[in-house]
Amino acid sequence: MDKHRSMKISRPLIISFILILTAIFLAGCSGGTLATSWPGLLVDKNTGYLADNTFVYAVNLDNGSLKWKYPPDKGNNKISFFAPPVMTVDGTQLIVGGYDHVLYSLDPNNGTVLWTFPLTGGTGAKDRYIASPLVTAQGIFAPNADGYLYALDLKGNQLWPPFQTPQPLWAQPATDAKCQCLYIASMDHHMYAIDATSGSQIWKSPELGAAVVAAPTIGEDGTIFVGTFGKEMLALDSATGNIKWRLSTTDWVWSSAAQQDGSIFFGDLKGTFYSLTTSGKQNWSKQVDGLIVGTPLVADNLVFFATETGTVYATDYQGNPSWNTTVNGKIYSPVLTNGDTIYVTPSEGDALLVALTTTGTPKWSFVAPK
Amino acid sequence: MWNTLVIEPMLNLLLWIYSLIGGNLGLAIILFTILIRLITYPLTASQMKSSQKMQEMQGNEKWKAMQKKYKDDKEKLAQEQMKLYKELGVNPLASCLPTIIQLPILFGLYGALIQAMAATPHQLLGLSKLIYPFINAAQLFPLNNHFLWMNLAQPERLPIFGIAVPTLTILVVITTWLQSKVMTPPSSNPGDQGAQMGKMMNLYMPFMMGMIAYSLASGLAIYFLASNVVGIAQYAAMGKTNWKNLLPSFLISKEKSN
Repeated sequence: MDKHRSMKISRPLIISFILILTAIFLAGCSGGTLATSWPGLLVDKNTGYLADNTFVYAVNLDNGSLKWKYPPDKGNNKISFFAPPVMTVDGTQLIVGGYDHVLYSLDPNNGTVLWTFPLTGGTGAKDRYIASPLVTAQGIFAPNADGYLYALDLKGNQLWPPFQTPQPLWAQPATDAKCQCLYIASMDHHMYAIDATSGSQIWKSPELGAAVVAAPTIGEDGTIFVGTFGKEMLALDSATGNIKWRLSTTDWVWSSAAQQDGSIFFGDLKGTFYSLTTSGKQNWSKQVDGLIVGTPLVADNLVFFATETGTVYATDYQGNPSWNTTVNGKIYSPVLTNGDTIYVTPSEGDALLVALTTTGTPKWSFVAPK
Repeated sequence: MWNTLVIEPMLNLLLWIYSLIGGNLGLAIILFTILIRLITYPLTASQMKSSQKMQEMQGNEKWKAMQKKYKDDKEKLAQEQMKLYKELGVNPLASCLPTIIQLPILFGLYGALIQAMAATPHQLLGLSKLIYPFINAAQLFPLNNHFLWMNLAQPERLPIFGIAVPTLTILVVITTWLQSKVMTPPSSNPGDQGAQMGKMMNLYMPFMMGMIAYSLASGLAIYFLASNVVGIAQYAAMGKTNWKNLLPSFLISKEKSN
C-alpha cells in the first residue's frame, strides 16, 4: 500500500486505536476504585490469621507453614480482605470484613464459612470493611466505610439498628473494661461513645480538627488517646468526650498509640516517632527513615515499630536504639507478638509475613502460595 | 514524573476548587472540567480548524476532479491527494494531534479523581504525599463524595421502580453521540473511506464512553458529561456546530434536493 494512501486512512484509525487503548486502560480499573490496602494480621497463640487481598491465610507461627486459606481454591477478584481478622471471645469464630461489603465468620480450624453478614435475604453494609470489628462478650461491632457501626450477635443477627455517623468509619472501635461502652473514631472529625447494649449515643466529642483513622487507645485511667490527620495527638475524657490536651506532631497521625508505664508511643507520616506522658508532655521523639502507619508494639521492655521503608526498629522506653533490621517490602501494619517472636507483614515484598526474634534475627517468612 | 507533572497539579487544582466552593465534589469536578476545557481551548480550536480545512479541501474542484480521474488507480489518487494537501497547506494528521494531546489530561484527571476520592487506605496514604502545602488537607478530608443521588467513588445507579438504572451512563452516551454528531462537518463525499470511518466512530465512541462511565467511579462520568456539554457549547460558540447532522439522513437528502 502506498504511504500517501495509508496516511489518508490512518487518521481515524489512529484515533480509534488510541480511544480503544484509553477504554481498555480505564475500564481495566473497573469496579469503582482500586481496592488496595496492606495485609492485616491477627496473632492468636500459635496461629497467625492473615488477610491479604483475595485470601485469608492461617499460618503456623512455629514454622511459617500454611494451615489453610479461604477461599480454599481460587481467589475471587471481587472479594478482598485487608482488615486484620479478629477472634471471638470463645475462640470459635474468626471474623473478617471484606471489601465486598460482607462480614465473614470463618471456622478458625479450617477456614470454612460459618455465616456471613448480611444473612441470606437481609440487608447489610453498603461499603467496604476497612477496619477490623471489635469483638467483646456482648457481640461483634463492625465499623464500615458507609459510616455505620453494625452490632451483631455471634450468629450474625443484628443486636440493634446500625449506629450512624456522617462519614466513613476506618478505625476499629475500642472499649473499656470498666464500662459497657464503645468508643468510635470517625472520619467526620469526631469521636463517639455509645452504649454497647443498646447502640444509643452517650456522647459526641467536640470537633477534633481533622479525620481520624486510628483506633483509639484507652489509658489506664480511662483517658482516650487518638491521633488525627490534623497533625495532632489528642487525649479525651472518656466520661464526656471533652479534649483534655492536644500535642502537635510533624505530620498526620495514622498509627494508634501503644502505652506502657504512664507513657504512650506512636509515629506520624513524616517518620517521627514520639513518646509522651499520658498527661501530654513529650518525653522524646526521634526521626526515622520512613513514614509510620502501623501501631507500635511494647514487649520485652522494648518498643518495636516499623516504617514504610521496611525497617523494623527496637528502642528502649527512653528512646535509646536497641537494634533495627530491614525486611523486603513496605510495612504499614502493626508489629505484633505472641511471646518471644515479633511479626511484621510487609506489602510489595517477597513475603507476606516475616517472623523475627525480639533481637531482630529473622526466623522464617511466609510467602503466599501461587 | 507522571505524578509530579500531571496528577499532582490536577489533584491540587481539584482540591483547591473543592475548598473554594465549600466542599461539593460533584460541583468541583464540573468547574474543574470547565477550566480544563478553557485551558485546552486552543487545541480544540485548532482541531476544528484542521477538520474544517480538510472538509473544505474535499469540496475543492481539483480534489473532485482527481477523485473522478483516478477512481481506478488508488495509488495515483493517493499521490495526487498528497500533492494537494501540500499545495493547500493542509496536514491530514493535524486534527488528530489535539485529540492525542488531550489523552494525558484524561488519564491525569482519572488518576487525580481516584486519588482525591481515596476510597482505600493505600489511596489515602498516596494522597497524603501529593498534597501541596497550601491545601488545608486536615480540614478537607474526607472529601464529600456525595453529589445529588450519587456516591462519586462508585459507579452510578439510580433506583427507578426497583431497577438500578445507570442514568449517568445513558447521559454520557447521549451527549457523546450529540457532540460527535454536531462537530462533524458535512462531508462533500459521504461515500469516501474517511467519511465512513467517521460515521463508524460516531457510532461506537458513545458506546465506548458509556462502557467506561458504566464501570468506573461516577466522578469520572460527571467529568465526561460536563466535558461533552461544555464541548458542544464551545463548538456552538465558535459557530461550528452542524445541527443538521442530528436529523435523520432521509430528511437531510430531502432538504438538499429542495
